[in-house]
Amino acid sequence: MKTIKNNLSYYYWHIPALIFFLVFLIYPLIFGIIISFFNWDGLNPNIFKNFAGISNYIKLFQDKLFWLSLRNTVYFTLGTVILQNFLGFFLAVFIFLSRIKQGSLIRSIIFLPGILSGVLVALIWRQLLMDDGAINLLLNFLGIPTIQFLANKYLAIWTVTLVNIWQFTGFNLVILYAGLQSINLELLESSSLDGANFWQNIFHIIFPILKPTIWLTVLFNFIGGFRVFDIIWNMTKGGPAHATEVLTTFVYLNSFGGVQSTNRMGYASAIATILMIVVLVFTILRTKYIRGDQ
Amino acid sequence: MKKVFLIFLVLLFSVSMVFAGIGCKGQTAETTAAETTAAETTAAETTAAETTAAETTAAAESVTIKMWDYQTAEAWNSAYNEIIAEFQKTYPNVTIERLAQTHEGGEELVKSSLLAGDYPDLVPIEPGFAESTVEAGYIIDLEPIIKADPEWFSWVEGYISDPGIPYKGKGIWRISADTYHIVVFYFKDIVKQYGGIDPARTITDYEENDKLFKAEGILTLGNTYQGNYQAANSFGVFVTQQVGNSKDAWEMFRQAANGEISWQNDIFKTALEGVVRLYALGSDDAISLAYDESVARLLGKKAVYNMYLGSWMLGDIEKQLASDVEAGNVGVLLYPAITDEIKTLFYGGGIGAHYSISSKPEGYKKEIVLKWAKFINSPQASAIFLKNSIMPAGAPVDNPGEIVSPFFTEYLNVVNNGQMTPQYNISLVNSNPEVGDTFLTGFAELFSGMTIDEYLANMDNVCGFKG
Repeated sequence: MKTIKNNLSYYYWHIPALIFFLVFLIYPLIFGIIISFFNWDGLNPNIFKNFAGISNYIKLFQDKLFWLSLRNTVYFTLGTVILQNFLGFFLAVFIFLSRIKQGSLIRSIIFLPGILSGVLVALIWRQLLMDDGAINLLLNFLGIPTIQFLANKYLAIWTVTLVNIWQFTGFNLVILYAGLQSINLELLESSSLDGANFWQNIFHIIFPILKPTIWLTVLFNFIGGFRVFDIIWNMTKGGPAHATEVLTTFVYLNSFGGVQSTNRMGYASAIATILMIVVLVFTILRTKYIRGDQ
Repeated sequence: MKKVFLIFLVLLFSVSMVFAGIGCKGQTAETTAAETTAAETTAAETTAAETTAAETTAAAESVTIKMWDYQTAEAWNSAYNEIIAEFQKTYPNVTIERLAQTHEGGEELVKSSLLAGDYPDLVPIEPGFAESTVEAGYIIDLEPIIKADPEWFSWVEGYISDPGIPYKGKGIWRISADTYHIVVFYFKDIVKQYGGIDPARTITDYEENDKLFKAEGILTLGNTYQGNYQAANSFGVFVTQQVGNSKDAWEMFRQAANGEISWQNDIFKTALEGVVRLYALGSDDAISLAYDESVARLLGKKAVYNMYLGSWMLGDIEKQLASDVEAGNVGVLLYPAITDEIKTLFYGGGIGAHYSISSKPEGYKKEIVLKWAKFINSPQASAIFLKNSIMPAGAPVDNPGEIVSPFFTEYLNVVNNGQMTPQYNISLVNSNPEVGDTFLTGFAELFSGMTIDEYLANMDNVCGFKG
């Protein structure tokens, strides 16, 4: 009896968190999946008036814009994952190995953009990158013609990716630096004494030890890349000509419609469901891979 | 066992929340529909005559009216502050809260607030989502109410025949504070300084002037196509110029959008050539400018010509470019002609700040909301709008010449030399999301290397033209 009571009181403490989880995560998730099977315009209070079956999903896979936004999302995410981890790794290693006195100050400065609001970052960088912005003024001063960072449809996606990397590299740096704390410096010293050079230490000692931490940052960056919205919406609104349209902005566009046009909430929910499945599949595969690796 | 129980709990909770959601929404829809029918009848009877009961109630009950629109120019704030103060002389118990936002963010707010059920008493509904809004019962039909009030009807008769919000082949009436005209504001002193053609009438004139300005590192067009739908407006104007009247131009767009005629015709092609030629005179980032950035280029005097801004900007130009206006440096032009043969210059225009009335207010509050809506079109309000260089849509004013500024008079003289063409092409194509997106996004593609033939062929494909 006492054991049963103890077990029950153990669960009681979980109830508030469980309610929060159910109300703000599970319910919207299930509701979103359900309305993806209906043609709901997002305005009519009668949500379940027009049953669409799987037609929203069929339409989705035939929609050129969906594939374009998926492609852009992949570009953005790959750029983010690769560069953020590359920069974060080498910055962390540099600060760790150099044992620089201002190491924590440097880490804080690099991390600072990560605590700024995405909207603020986007608006500041937008002003800097415009034709008459500070960056183009500097380029013109150096004799370089104006670059259409945000208006050129080939350049725009990489511009917003770089802004995102600027904002969040500090996040990778902090996590990877924490991972480096587990490395015994004597190990590196002795390998150096045995003749290993800097790059051999990096690839044969540091990198293998840090692999689980790197996988963690890759996962975070991947999820962050797939759910990016604020930076892109406030810099380019998915333009020009959908060149920076990603899945989240595509969901938003269909949820609330463009200027003077109607909403397609059911369709937007279908897109969001696909987005969720992609991220879920990646997370499961990554977890399985790490377990196997270990 | 525990796992099964927990999973069952989760599912039960989720399903019950879903059914709770259905239940609430269903009741709201039924209640709103019934309220709308009853309220329309009540409002029509009440508004027709001012009753002693209403006046007595006015003294007793304080009311807050919320209104949203897209007029962010400072002159609008000045005008509305004065109009509200005037209204409050009769109704001191009424507070009016106005929220002005740009179109870009404002429309999203309107749609999400309608869904949330937390929308204002006077709300701007665009044709693109009008059908859903009307079907959901969020707004009332003003037609029977206005028709039952001869005074109000006489004030709005001039513009109320605008199709308004389309719904099942009929227009749902909405009131408007102003009528707008889209023009080109330019700086005469810069044109004169470099010996440019003034006034520039054709696109060729603009191109000749551009050669002079470019040599001096001056931007010819500041905000050529801020937002795709503004390129669409220019396209519409250039089509109308060739066709000769807006009715036939509108019919041409309608037929093309429905796949009845091909988009690949000489008129559309010439119009698009005009659009592309003009774009080349502006900065390459013009397509990605936000509205505020576009306005900043005009008010910051960063370019010679500034397109797709109109009458709603007059008050702000007078205030923020006061010295230039006083010196006669700010000029007004109609959209350029695509060829020398074009005799009549058209400009995009229509009713401006528009409001539909929410179906939420009841009883006394509803009376006051309707009185306020009527007051926006009253002669007193019209006079205040004119004083702030805003073109009122409502009742005419005696001796407007005594109120309007010299700059506004010059503006009106220019506009009266042209003809207005409504921006129906945008609304029309937006009624079909796929057509609308191809139409609007296509302009950005055009400016990024797509050919005109490819653009028109895409439109044929999307609109289902079989040949």
